[in-house]
Formats: sequence, structure tokens, C-alpha cells
Amino acid sequence: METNDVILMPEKYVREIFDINESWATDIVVKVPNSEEINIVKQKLQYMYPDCRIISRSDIEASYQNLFDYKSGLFLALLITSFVAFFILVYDKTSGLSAEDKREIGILKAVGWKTENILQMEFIEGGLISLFSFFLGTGLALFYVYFLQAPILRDLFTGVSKLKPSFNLIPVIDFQVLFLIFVLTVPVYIMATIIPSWRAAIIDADEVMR
Amino acid sequence: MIKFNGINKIYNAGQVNEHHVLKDITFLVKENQFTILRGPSGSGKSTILSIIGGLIKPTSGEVIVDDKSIAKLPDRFAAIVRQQKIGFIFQKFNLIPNLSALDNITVPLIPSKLSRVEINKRADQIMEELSISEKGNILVKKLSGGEQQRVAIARSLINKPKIILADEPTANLDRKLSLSFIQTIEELKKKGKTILLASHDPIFYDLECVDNFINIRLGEIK
Repeated sequence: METNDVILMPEKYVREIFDINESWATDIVVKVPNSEEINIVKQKLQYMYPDCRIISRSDIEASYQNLFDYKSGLFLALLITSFVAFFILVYDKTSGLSAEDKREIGILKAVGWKTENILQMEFIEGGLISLFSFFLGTGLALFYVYFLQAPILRDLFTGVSKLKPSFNLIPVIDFQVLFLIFVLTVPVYIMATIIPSWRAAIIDADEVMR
Repeated sequence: MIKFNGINKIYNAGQVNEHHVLKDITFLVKENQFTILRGPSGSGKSTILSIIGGLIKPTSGEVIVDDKSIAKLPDRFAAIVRQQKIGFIFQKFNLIPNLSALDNITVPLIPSKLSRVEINKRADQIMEELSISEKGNILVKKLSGGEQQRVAIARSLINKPKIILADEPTANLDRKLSLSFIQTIEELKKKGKTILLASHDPIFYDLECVDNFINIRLGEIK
């Protein structure tokens, strides 16, 4: 089993299983030494064998690229799931701090921190975590797809097309998409960190520590 | 100097569960005095310390800390008084468990304008005085009870406060560590600190260095 739609096996077994005569073939490769003549050869073959599908290497590469993009729609669904999980995390954070977190804020107030000092610290902490996560996630995604050429997922997306010829995923950075992900994650996470801390910081430190 | 003048503290005032914790409390702790606030659990000792530290506000009355009235100070200014004049030592130490001893000690100075070098210099000096220099990089949760308390004392001293407030400081210590704590307090008194310590531990009752006792029972001075 090679991909989700490919099983590789010796030719003789294939012929036996599908009862294909020795003189028959499903795919024939034609090599054209002069690349300028590829289209002419293609037209001639099409004329000679109108029932065959004649495709050049460049046609295949273009279709593979499209196929990868099309199937990545599957991953859009997974992306939405990730967003839902992220917003559940955010909701959980905004709904309240743990007793331990509240106690820490109480301690900070008791040793002389002002509410604004605590909010400033939470802002820096939340900002650093979310920015680091955003850049790390984006960087890893680009590295995985364009540098490593999306191992495993590429086979899943391209299926039989994986066999021949090879093709490369061309790096494309869509700044609109990146900006959208940034807006939906970084400020949201920072707010989710600050709001409960502010709630805890305005309570009497004495009450929080008891 | 700490002055309490007719202080009342009522929780849930006007409600069914109203609780009158402090009733018309008046006392004076002079500069460089070591005063023990003694009384059973629930008598209001911790509430008095919290009011002096500006952690809570009294329902009525006047509190003077080092010539400054703090009873009605907004939270922001109460924090400044706390940061500049007061060092707290809590019963349960109240350290941040996931920070090292050094980080816990320097926490009060982080919002200050002091450089990290100056902060560390102060911390090193205090840790040396309290014999915990080698413990600086260890997480406080891995330290023994006595070491944790010395870290808590160091934290209370890092901002060079005039006043030290200690709430049941020996409640979690054995006798040997309690005696060591008393020695530390005596040294702080010699350095000119004003100390107000709330405790019902009899170990403090016969100390020569104690200048004054305030007996409190059910929120009233007896």
C-alpha cells in the first residue's frame, strides 16, 4: 500500500489479476528529446489515437499542484476544529483563574505591587506566549510544507500522482491569511490572560490569600 | 510609628451574616519597638496586620503608619506605602512555589526603578545575613520549612522597610527553628526596625526584647 489509492505490485501479478494481455498497456511513456516538439508530438498522437488521453509532463505538474491545493480543503475542516479548541481554551481562561493563580496575585499585592504592575506583567507574559506561539506555528507550518515538502500529508493529498513525475510545492505566503490568524489568536489570548488577572487584582489581597 | 485610633472592621455590614471583627481598637506602637499582638485564633490579630499593611480598609477609624494616614488611601497609594515602608512575614510564608528563592526574595522590587544589578546586590547581602546564600537558585518548594521562612523574611526586608509585620510566624516551625526566628527578629530590632508580631505562641511571652504586648480577644483590646 503506497498511498490512499495506490498499491504497488509486480507487473505479472497485475496482468494476472486484471487479465491483461502481454501486448496491452494502460500507460505508455513517450520521451521527446527536443522539448520544442513536445506539443507537436502530443497533437500527432492525439490525432492517431483519438481515444487516448495524451498529457505532457507540464500538464501533470500543474494538475498535481491543483490537486494538493484542492485536497488541502480537508485540512480546513481540521483548522476550524483547532480554532474551536483554541476558543474553548480562551473561554476557560477568561472564566476564572485557579486558586493558585489568585493566591500568587494576592502575594504580589501584599509585597507592594500595584494593580497596574500585575496587569503589565500579565500583558507581557500573555504577549510573549502568544507571539512566540504564532511565529513558531507559522514557521513550522511553512517549513513543513515548503522545505520538507509536506511528508505523509503530500502522499495523502496527491494519491496516485505521487508516483511520477516528481513536483515541488512552490512557496507562497499569503499575508492576508497570516494577518487573519494573528488577529484571531494573539490579541484574543492576551485579553483572555488580562481580564481574569484584573478581576483577581482588584479583590483585596487579604481575601485572596486566606 | 503605628497608630490605631478607634478602628472598627465589619464584614458584610447590614447583612444577615454581618461580622464585627474589630471593635473600637486603639493602640500605639512607637518607632523601633517590638510589640506582640496576642490572642486566640479568630480574635482579629491578622485583620489588624492587614489594615496596617493597607491590604484591607477599616470600616471606621484612623490608621497612621509612619506619619501617614492610610485608612482611606486608594489601593494604588496603599500599595506604594506597603512597598516603601512595610515588610510582611506570613504564617504560611506565602512564597511563589515555582520560583527560586532568589526570585521570591526580589519579587517586591521588580516594579521598582532599581536596576537588576542593584536588586541582586541587595538580595545577596540579605541572603548572606540569613545564611541562605547557597539556596538562591533552588525552587522554594524544595526548601525545608525553616529555609522557606528565611526566604520569606529576606523578601520582607529587600525593600528596606521601617516596619515589619509578622502573622503567626512560628505556627509552622518546630521549637529550634522558632528560636532561630526570634534571634533574627532581635537582630532586626537592633537595626532599628519597628516590629509588630501577631501570635498566640507562648514562646514570645517571656522575651526580654519585647517592648509591649497588646492583648486582643473577640475583636477587642483587653
